[in-house]
Amino acid sequence: MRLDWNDLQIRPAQVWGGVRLVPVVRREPLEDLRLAPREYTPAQRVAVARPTPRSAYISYVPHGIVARWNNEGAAEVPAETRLGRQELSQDEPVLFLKRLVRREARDQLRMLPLHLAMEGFLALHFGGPTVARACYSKRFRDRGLDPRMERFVRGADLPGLDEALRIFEVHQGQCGLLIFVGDQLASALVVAHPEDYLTLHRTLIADFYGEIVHRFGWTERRVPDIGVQLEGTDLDAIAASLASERDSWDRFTREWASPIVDAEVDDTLVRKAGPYRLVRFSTGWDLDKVVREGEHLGEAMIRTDGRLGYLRTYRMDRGQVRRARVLSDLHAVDWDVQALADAQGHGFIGRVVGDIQQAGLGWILNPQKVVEWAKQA
Amino acid sequence: MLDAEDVALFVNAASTCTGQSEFYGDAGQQQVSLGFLHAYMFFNYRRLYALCLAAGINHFNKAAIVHRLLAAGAPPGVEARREEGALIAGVLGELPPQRVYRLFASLRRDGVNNRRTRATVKRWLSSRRDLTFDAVKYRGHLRSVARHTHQSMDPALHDFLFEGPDSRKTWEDPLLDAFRRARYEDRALYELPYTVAEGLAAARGIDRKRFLERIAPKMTRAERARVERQVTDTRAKLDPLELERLPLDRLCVYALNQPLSDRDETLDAALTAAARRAWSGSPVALRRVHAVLDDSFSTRSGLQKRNRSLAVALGCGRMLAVTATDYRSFWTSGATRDLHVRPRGQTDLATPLLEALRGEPDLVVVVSDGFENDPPGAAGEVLRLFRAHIDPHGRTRVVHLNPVFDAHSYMPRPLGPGVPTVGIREAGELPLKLGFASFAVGGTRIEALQDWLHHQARPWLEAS
Repeated sequence: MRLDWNDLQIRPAQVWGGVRLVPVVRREPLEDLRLAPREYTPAQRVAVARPTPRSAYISYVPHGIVARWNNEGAAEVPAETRLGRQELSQDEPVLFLKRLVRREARDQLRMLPLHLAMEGFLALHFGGPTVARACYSKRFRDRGLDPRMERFVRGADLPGLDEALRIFEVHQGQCGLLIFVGDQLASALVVAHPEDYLTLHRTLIADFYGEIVHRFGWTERRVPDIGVQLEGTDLDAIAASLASERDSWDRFTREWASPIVDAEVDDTLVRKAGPYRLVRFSTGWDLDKVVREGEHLGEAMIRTDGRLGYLRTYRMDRGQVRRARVLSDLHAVDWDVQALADAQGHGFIGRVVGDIQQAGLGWILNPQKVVEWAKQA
Repeated sequence: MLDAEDVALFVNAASTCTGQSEFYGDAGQQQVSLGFLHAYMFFNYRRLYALCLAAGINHFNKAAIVHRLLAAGAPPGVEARREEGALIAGVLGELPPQRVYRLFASLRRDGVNNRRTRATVKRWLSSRRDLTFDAVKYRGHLRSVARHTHQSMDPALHDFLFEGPDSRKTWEDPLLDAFRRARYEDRALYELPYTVAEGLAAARGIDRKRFLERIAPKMTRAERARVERQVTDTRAKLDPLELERLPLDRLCVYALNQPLSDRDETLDAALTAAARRAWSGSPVALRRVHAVLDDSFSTRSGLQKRNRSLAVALGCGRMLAVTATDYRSFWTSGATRDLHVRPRGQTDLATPLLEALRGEPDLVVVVSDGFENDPPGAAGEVLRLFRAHIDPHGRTRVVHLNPVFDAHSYMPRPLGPGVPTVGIREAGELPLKLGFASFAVGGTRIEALQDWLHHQARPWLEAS
């Protein structure tokens, strides 16, 4: 699937310390999708959701996003519903949410921002090997990857992000934001309507970001402001030069954010929502790209005409990509370690075992087999 | 060899910085940065430092300069001593009393009590019209300064301040007596000044709204403008006549605090009247003037001074509108009615600036905090090209007025080289600041600046 940013314009960045915030403006707002944040109480930052009847998803969840659509004409601001009130009226120390995406009315959904993408990532080959091979540990064969865990960093812990978001001047008609930390693309948010962006802007500080973004933030504490160079000998020429500078900034930033902007991604449909499809996607598991371009997870609502109604992305760490890579490679060869070694062209089981162990998944292998393989080599 | 740029930099900083948090910087940075500038100016150019009191700097910095001058003792030389004395007396006469009392308190805290300080305090106290009122409204301050500098007082005041309000059965003066009674009688509360009554009322648990309505006659206009939104009773509201009497800057802040529906013709007329009053007496004549006014989100300013930058832009626009024969304004948001502006959106100075430069104006005034982000640095580029190709002889004068002090660069943030950037705290200072703008670009001689400062200070120097 292609993420289509054609109707979105990218405007000059606003820099504060090591954070570069790039406003994204929509030429005309999409009126048929409205989003609103749902704030959970600060005491209940940990939430439990049940993606399937037999699994539980436990995470830090500061807020949800409620989406409301309309098949014909303009959608209204999301309404308060009975199910929504039920969610908010809990007074246990842990928040119990039924599904990650929950239908609250005929035309209304509650999502947990980024958790949809994250849950898809965690569920990747969660069930374990499809063939009961002796080379895997008993626990992996019986229970799969359970419990599968990943770590991330809160926006509030990224250096300078809070201040940068506070002083950010929201553009007229702004519908999205690209966040660069240490000049590396950290995250993107796109919504359908400018008014919704205003309410969601401050929730960005509570959302989560990859640990790699945290490292970028600490290594690059100051990024340069990119000024413009104009030319022209009369006022009209100067104005034209200013317009072309804006265009070239737009093109330049599209290049810069190419993993997400106008990019091909692997998507999975989660559900349909009126004229939109709610999907989760990933840009791939390429280890070489993790540091330079970055590999991203995301969730999006795509309109039938291909326009983006909602987009939120998360930049993955090297370890996360490595784990996803190992698991999907093993899955592709039917969990046969020797076959994977052959497929990689070197035929050494030891190398594959090393990859698995380095990815932090050593425990899925049968330790006796590992010793045997080591003796063979 | 003295450098005019140093002095201009100091005047700009002292016009804008108040040590309070700004939109882009916190209070701590501002104070450190400003403290350095004061020390630098004082030790290098003491005479000019004192003359800066007349350069339209803000109250906070006036008090800071007087503090430093008094703490250092009198300068050598009769002439210098007389000039400095006249400047100090002149500036204390113009500062609001709460500022002066706070200055005295800071002198006490730092243990400054030389002969000149005692004489200055004595002279200022004797110039107060109603010291009894001060004894109630600024009771702690007056007591502290009188004790610190050994001032002799009228016996009744002496007893009231030092023996306490209960030291006599009754006081002859009705205000002093009201203060005594107010401690157990609700009715007497409403005979006191607002700030004094406010604390007593809170301690007594009187409903805030009822209190505000009943104390309204005792409030100053500025106080009423501030609390007006908290009350519904019409008696506490400002009527059109009172609105007109508010100073321009206070009125601008007041207007911006009103919801859009309440910004009506009355307010409009009051603003115009206030602007006319603020400009009157200035010899500057303006013909064709275009203004670029910033109403981006950052003009919301820091927490301690909501909407200050936007109010300065609004006020400057109004001042220019009433004096220039041909005036046009360009807001960065594209707003057309200045009364309806709100601090919203990005800072795109280049687009309105290009519009403002058309039509060969005599003067283009840019009022902005200088934090330009759509795209950054474009306004400076436009002005550079304008000077290089379109107007090399400087027929159109461009002045950047900046209400915000940037602590990192020790000055209000400039737009670019070649454009004079002048710090401004109050729109009412506009005529003075337009005059000062010629010193804000490099290359002026220090003597010229000194003469200008001397000229500004003349009313004070002649008065003594």
